[in-house]
Amino acid sequence: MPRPRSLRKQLLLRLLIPLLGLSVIGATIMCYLAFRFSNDVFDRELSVATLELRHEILEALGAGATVELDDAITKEADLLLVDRTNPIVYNVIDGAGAAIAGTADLPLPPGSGMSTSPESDVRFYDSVVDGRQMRVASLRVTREGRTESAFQIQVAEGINPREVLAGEMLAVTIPQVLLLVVLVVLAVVHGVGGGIRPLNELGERIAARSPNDLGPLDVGTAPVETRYLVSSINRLMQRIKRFSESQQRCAADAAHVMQTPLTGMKAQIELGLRQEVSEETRRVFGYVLQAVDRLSHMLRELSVLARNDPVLLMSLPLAPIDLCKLTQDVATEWVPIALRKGIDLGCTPCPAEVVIQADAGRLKNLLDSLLDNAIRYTPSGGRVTIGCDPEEATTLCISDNGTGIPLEERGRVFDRFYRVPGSGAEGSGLGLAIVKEIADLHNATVELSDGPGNVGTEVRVRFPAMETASASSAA
Amino acid sequence: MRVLLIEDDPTLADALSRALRMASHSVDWAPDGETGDRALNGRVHDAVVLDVRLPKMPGWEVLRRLRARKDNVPVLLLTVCDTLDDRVRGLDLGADDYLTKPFELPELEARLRALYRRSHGAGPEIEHGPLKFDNVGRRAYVNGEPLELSARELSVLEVLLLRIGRVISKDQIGHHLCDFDQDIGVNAIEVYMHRLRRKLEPAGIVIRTIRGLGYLMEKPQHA
Repeated sequence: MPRPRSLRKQLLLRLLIPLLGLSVIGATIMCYLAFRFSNDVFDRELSVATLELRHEILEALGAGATVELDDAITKEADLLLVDRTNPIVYNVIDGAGAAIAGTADLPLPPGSGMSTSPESDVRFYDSVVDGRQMRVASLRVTREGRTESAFQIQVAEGINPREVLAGEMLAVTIPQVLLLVVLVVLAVVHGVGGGIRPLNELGERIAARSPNDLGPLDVGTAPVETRYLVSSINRLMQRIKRFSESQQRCAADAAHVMQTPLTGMKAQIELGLRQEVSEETRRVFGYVLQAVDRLSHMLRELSVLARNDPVLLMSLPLAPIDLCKLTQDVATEWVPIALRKGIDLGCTPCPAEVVIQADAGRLKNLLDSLLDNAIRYTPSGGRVTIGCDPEEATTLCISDNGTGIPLEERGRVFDRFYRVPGSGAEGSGLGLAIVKEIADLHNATVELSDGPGNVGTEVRVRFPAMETASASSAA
Repeated sequence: MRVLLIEDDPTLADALSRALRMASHSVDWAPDGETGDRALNGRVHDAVVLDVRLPKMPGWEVLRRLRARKDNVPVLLLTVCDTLDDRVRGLDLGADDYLTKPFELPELEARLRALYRRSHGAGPEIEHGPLKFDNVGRRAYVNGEPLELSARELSVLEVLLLRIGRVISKDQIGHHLCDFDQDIGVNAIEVYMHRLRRKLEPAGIVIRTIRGLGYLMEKPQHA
């Protein structure tokens, strides 16, 4: 699998590589200019020296010195060239190329040879003399039209000082350029980071959502460039939501429609048992009947669970409901079942209305599950009490004096299909999961503790008081 | 009584028909909503057992049409829905009672009987084990012996008998006694209940107190 591409890295690479390239080109141009400027300055000086030497030679010649010219020149040249920090060498040759005077044998300008052309400007060229890099200025001098007495002056100096000057210039400018480059790089890095921030924020917004939240992201606040992404995510979530909904509906409906044939089975068996049948047949039918009841119970719980899938219910419409009244109504329905099992089911009195924000149907499912669970796991002769806590009215409280749930199991009993080992009764392991999931939908908390007198179990479902409940349901 | 059973599942319909016939009712079976609706137009039935989910016409619609015709025949809804909404909806549409599948046959029989009684006045007589309640003569007998009961005690007994096996709250009892007196206190009901118990206990008829909810007259053991 290829490594995931980092947008930030890509942007930085695309900006910084050209930027660094441009910096190198800029630096190169700067070096070239530094060397050229330094060359020009030194060339001008060398040119001045050459012209002065020419002047001195012509003076000497004009004074009539024709012989021993080299001595005169040597004298003049030494005078002229002695007082320099940058040592200069020179060479004077006549028209035929024979040396007249000089301190070094300097090469002729490239491509000219001993030309017979008239007096020219000073020409410059680089050359290696005695293994040293030298800059040579060359001047061809003719005297009053007499080409045969023309001569050539060459003056040369080492190029070292030029490099030094150029180096000094670069030493001043390069750090400034480097500083500039660093500043630009910092600006780019900062800018890219800032530019990418909306993407990170978008990611954080998605990550911060409740795992059950499949609602659309707010496109309004997203930057224009991310709108397409946001709307695509929204479309995807919409699809997931629709898919989950159809799955959920399918599961709930399936569990639902199966109840009818089960009821038919149950009724047929009951009818069969009304006949004169053998004890063996009665026993067999008894088991079948139990299995049918268990199956039907599980199906009911499954359909409740499917309908309460928190993924699909983040915006459960809640309405004010009298918790105490509904608890009494539901408990009333369970009394005959409890009596049949020999359990004393009762309700704590509710002195006043206890209004909470809830979905009536789901709250009833929660109460049914709590009561079913308590009655199921309390042995015959036991006692189950449900009602609102008189101290804290919006807390629903159900206690029994049954076997209780061991401390180490209490964290897991809310898991789907988890059954406390050795609990015996034929539960589906879905009851408390239903309680927890419906409680979550109502922003209620569920606590398990020992029943009164440290016997049995007490389950407390703490619903938020009215104001906070309405605020959170609007969120 | 003549019962119309509107239920599409043949297994369930067969069992219910047989059970009701055993209880000496006559039963007509309609396997879908439309057939049921047509049958109800005849107005010959004393009670209707109506499934909510039906082919051709949903149970809701059958019920709505029935009540739109101002037909007050008692209707017992069979729902699978374990949500409150469906029950509330059924009762709003004019159902008299509901049973959630799966149920037990005696439960259905008892509900139907209670429905019939409620719609036809309490009927001439209600029997409960050794107890017989004569609605016309407003007297109660245990094993044929008349019980000494005041008018209010009789009324309380009537309420309990009409809802045998189900919890009846003090409020509901108070409501039932309203004909006599506007102010029936909770304490007064407790007093009547105490007296009733004392008189019925020798016959083995138990009125249970359900903590915080009310009272319940237990079903006869054999039912």
